Amino acid sequence: MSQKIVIDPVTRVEGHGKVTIQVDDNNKVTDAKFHIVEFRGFERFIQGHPYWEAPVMVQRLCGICPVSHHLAAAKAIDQIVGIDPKDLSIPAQKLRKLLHFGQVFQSHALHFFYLASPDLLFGADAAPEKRNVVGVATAYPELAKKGILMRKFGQEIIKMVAGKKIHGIATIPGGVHKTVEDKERQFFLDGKNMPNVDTMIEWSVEIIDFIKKYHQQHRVFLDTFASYPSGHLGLVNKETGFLELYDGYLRATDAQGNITLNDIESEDYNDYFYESTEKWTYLKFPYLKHIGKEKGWNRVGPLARINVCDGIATPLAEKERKEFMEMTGGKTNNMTMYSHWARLIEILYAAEEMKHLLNDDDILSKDLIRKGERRKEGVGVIEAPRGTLIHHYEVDDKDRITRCNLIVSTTHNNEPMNQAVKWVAQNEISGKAKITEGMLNQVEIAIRAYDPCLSCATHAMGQMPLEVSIVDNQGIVIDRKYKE
Amino acid sequence: MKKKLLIGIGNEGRQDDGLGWAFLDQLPPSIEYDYDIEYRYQLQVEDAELIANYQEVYFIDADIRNFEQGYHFEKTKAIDQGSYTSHELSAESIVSLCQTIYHAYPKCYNVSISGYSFELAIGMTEKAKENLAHLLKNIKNIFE
Repeated sequence: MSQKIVIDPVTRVEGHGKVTIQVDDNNKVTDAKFHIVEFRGFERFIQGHPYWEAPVMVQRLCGICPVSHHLAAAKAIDQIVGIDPKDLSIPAQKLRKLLHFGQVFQSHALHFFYLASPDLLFGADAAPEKRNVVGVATAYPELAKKGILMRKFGQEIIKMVAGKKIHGIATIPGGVHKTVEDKERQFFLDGKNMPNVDTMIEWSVEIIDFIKKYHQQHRVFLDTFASYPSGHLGLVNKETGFLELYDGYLRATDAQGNITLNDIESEDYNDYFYESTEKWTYLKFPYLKHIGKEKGWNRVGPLARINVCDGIATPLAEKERKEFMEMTGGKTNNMTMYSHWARLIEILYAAEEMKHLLNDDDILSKDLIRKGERRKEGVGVIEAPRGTLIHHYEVDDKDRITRCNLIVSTTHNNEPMNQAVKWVAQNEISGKAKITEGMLNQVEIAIRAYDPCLSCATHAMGQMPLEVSIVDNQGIVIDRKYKE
Repeated sequence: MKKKLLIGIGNEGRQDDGLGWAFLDQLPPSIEYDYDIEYRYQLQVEDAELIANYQEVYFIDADIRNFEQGYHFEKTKAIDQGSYTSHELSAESIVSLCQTIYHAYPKCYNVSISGYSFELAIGMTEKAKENLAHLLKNIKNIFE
């Protein structure tokens, strides 16, 4: 009799994922699926609203990366008012980039400190009561304090540019809302009230050194765990091909590094991507049309971005990128756990860029807005912390949004996360009848590498984040485990 | 050290999930306590540093449990809790982090308000509004 192992959310509201693992009579895994129950009603919810409301409203998609949604929507709405990214005023471009780097910095710091470090420091088999952020704080208090202050630094940058740490308003169609005062930026440079941007760079280097040492000691784990060949997608700078987070060409490669999407303009995404649906998940499966559904899907996020770019514009991060690429002899890295290392390189990149922008007097300028000729459609693409984020809007003559299409990072990573879960199921669970804490955590570690952005902004107390069940092919639960 | 901090947690764009924020918005002006307020979608690690600066902290959030009075008040225990996503961190973990990292021990309380619907829409259910009104009516009992 075949069985299913299910990791299940209690309700759709919570927005958590659900893993179903199908096993045969001998408990050998035959299939595994990662279902995401994210509620994507925003695409309909926003229809009928005036276009200028979009950058504000879409922030409500997420409490962790609202800035990414804000900026992606803003880039799209800029086009509605006739302004392409290159036509924004220089100060507006720099202020938006500063905001974005603050977002990436705080989000990556949060991910590493809160999610990745417990697994890396204590291992997958450590006791659950130890393997969490409080366990890290107990065993490594200085690391914990640095993690919190790095996160805080990024949040304060967001507050300076957008007015609030969460759901502030930085952009307006064709520009930005306000400039930065000199005394505001000095807060991040003089180090009087909190560690300054130089300290952030120093700590970023320290954390990369940590993961390099970890790599020396745990190379087999990092090389093999949840590894699988895949395509990779990310933005690259239009002039240099370097890592680009705010605006650039879309580039994809296959698992061997061959170009599969050759530096296309982001507004042309619809010509190249298609989204398929499956009955067992709310989340769609994007893929490159010309390659097809089976092989046309791509990872997005830090690992993908490091893979597809030709270099990094800041010196320290570029040095680290080169060292990272040496691990695979310069070839594409398909090892999921290296996502953590790639993420830390981006932390350093963001810190270096923040320093550069904070010292640039253009961010004090009041030349903030441009106007153009009204259009009916706009596409904004940005590299959110978790990967490529696409916002696409159409509006009518009365300025109302008539169509909205969002492809969020987690949607791109839908098939990659399924692949990661399948790897764990086949290598760590297959042949075993009971769900153990270690097995559950192996699944979580694979998912954590992508830090899926679920329908997160609701989290009423009392809801169970995760449920693991073994179910036979008649739907009868024969084992169940909860993750609270 | 500051006295009281009230942290309203939730999302007013998700119906009854907005209870935490609505509580802060509707605090009666007659309540003349020395308190600061913060709005949160999710608690995050830096909140451990924030609460270390207060004597008392109240985490106000919607709750799917159906309390007889419509709300529930209890001390927040310091408990280490993990998650597979950075998109949630419990009040219990925040308190535990605060104690572990900053060696600060503010008195912390969960103020849970029963909610019933959490779909993507503006506006709370009538029953949730009643629960909030009942809590606000008895707010002095809680704060004292």
